[in-house]
Amino acid sequence: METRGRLGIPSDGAIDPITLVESKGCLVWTPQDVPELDICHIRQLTISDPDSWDAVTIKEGNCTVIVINNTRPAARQSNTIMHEWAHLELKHKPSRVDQFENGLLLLSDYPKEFEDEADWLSGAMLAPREGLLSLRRRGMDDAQIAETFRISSQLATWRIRMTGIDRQFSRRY
Amino acid sequence: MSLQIQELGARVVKHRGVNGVRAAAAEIGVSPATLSRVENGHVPDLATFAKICEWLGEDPAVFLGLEASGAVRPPPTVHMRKKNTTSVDTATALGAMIVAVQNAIIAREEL
Repeated sequence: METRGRLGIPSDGAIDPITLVESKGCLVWTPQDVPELDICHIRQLTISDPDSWDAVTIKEGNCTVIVINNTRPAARQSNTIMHEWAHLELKHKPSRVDQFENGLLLLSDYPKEFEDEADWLSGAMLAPREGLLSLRRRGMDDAQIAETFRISSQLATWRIRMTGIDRQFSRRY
Repeated sequence: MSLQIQELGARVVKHRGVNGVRAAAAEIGVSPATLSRVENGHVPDLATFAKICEWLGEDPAVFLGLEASGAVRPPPTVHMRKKNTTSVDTATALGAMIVAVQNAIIAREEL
């Protein structure tokens, strides 16, 4: 809520993840923005196999670049950028990338607990409990809440379930 | 002897023999879904790859065919949101993209 407050965004308003990460000095690129990336790799990542990945965050020195899979729906891209921001905010140790002479990439590891933590924080940033409660009180259904926060309906439903606001709401009203 | 990473899956299938994927995955310490994807030619993360190589009794370098590229620069570090395993082509494209971004950042800093 502090971060939302700093950005002047109320708890029931949509947050723009790109503005947030750019305010932290990160750059957001698409694969097409990456200088000197061979067209065959862009094609592999955006046409042949776009469903295998969502984003990569690369930190080099003081600069951080998030490359987002821009073939995904806008709401999913927002969630992914916020997820990457969460990794940075939570100071998760990044995975080391070993690339071999044949170009093959292997990550040192892919800790599920880091992914789960980042999912939780990004969801809380995009759709905070207080905001969910406020929108529910105004009679909004899951789809309307998703639209208000500019998130996917799946994420809205997940956040509503996880925060238990419907149970709280039904007890009080 | 040098093998290709694509051959890892076939070696896993051969090594587990009549044992099921679940039993082999439990022995290795990975999920059955991950092992199944590896058997189908997908590339795991390095930790999973190392566990599988240990179970196979093979040196990981055999599948990579070579040592990690001897670049002077330290390897990049990343956070990545992706499936647990990917095809060889996608792993290669992601690797190329990461290196290209790293190069671009270094070029910017040298300006």
